[in-house]
Amino acid sequence: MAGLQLVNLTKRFGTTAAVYDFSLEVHDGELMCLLGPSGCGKTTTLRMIGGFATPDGGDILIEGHSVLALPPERRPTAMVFQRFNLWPHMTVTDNIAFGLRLRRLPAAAIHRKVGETLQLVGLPQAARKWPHQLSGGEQQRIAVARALVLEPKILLLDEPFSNLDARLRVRMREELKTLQRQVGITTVFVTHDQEEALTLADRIAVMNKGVMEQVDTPGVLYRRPQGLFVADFMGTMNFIRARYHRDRGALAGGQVGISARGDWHDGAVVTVAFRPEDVTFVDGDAGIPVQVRRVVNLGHYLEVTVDGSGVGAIKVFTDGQRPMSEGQSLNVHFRRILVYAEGLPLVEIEMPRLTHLRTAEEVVEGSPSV
Amino acid sequence: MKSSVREGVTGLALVLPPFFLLVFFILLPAAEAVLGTLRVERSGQLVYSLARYVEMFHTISLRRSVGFTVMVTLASVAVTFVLAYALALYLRFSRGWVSTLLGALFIIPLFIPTVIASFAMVTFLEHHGYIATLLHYVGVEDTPSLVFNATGIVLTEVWASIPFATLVLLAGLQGIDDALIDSARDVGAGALRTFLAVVLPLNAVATIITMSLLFIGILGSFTIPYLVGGNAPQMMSVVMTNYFTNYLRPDISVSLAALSFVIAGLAGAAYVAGVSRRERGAV
Repeated sequence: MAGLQLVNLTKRFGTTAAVYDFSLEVHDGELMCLLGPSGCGKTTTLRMIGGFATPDGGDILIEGHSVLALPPERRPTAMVFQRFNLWPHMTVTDNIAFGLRLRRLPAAAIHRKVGETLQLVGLPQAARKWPHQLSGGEQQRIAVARALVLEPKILLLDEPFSNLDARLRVRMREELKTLQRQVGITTVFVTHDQEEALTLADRIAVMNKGVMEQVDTPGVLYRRPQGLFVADFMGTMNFIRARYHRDRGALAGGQVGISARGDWHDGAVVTVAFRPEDVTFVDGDAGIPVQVRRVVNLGHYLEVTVDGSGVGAIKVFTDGQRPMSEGQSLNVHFRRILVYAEGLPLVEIEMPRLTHLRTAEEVVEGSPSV
Repeated sequence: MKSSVREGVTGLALVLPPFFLLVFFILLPAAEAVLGTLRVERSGQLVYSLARYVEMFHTISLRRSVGFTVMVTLASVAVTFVLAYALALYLRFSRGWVSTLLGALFIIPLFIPTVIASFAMVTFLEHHGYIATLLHYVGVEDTPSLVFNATGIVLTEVWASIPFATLVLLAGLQGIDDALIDSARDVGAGALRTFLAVVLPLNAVATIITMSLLFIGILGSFTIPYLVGGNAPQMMSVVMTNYFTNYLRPDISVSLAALSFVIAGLAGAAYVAGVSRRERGAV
């Protein structure tokens, strides 16, 4: 087992940088997800680790040794692709045994290893089948088996479940996670699906436009996204643009005051972000008055969209204890908010005080709304 | 009328003209010709016998011509195949301006009439042609004979066949997903091993189609062997013409044609097997 280090990796296609100055350390036995929207450079990064793309700058170290000079066939990595993994003209056994035969293992050892690996991925009965006789999920499991049978130091997976249907995808994730724990192999998993990353990964590296946005555990990434991109990309997040006012805090639409204190200069534009599950409905005059626009029942919870003057549309997740109907007037409060400002660190505020400036006199003079 | 019936009638109407054309203008005359080669007049009576074929194989020049034709065809197919495969692999796997340029250039021979290409090759290869002149400048006086023999025919057939062969092979190679090739590299196969174990078998259908069509095309070609070939031995198509128009022995000519039909039929069978393999959904 081994650790993987990516040091200032850069890859250009023509004049545009697909990956720029990307550094990441994957620990021994860790499952690291590279997460980002399509075209963010995550697959390019993975292909560079596997040796299928040559970086224009930087280094790739496995167990502390640079593998940059090695072609894919000599790197201690094994890759599972999105699709078309298995060679259709070979049986499952031949697919798995191909790499072992290249290493000139005796036939008995090959037979034993293929059997063990098929057992490991739960498909011992598939040995004599042809790839086209297997379902999509089974094909991907055989692809994982083919990668693992060579006992690589690093396992690379490039959106391996994205062509499977939703239910199967969830099951495959769980199986992969169990398998990875069992084998203890250092793994890099590329996905654009944040739910997949959150359920699978020990740590997630979020990429955008070729650069690293943040690398953290799923919990931290969800709770304290360091930038607006990550905040928007991971899960559902509400955003309110506001202008900072020294006396009144963040002022949204010139009407809603949110008690926030930070190192912002007077009049600075800030973004207030909060999760739908951090919005609570309150009784009485406290909080901000809103009107229910849409209620969607998602089974174990309701997704409610509310509108408020100054704050715009807000998504709320609620357990459905309180009856909701469209057009209903309510007051909302935020349990926890994150405040972002250009070039400044994130400020986290628990239970902020909200004030709604109802009368024209109270609207702060000289503070243009955003 | 039910729509399925109407569709069936439309389909039949579309199929019938080519079907009748095939039966009445090709199959029946061909069958009649082949039967004709077997009919011999013996003491005023028509009897069926293989006498003409026996005569054909007892004539040294004809026997040599059949062997010569098969050898020249096989050599041309082999050389074309190797060159076209190399070119197709290059066009499939390399990026950059050289590849783009080559991708546009290789198609040119397809647009040049065979007559012109043949004369160009003669000018190029003959005793005082470009090649000989060039070799003379570098001090080689004794140039091998490159034209009016088998070498000339093979060179010209190869030149004329490369675009078609490359197109079909390239189309096949483009159908192989990158992941299948990358996977092979990933588990430890080098370039040659990847080619032999993955690319070649996955491109088998395109390979069979290319080889069989090349074989039939070259076997039956007339212009190139007529203009670039020598006096003896000659390819079957040229010999057939000679027997038909000069020696006034159409019966021998038709017997030769029947024989070439059989040889081409073998390649045709390989083609049909290859295509039906693809249609069955196998690789």
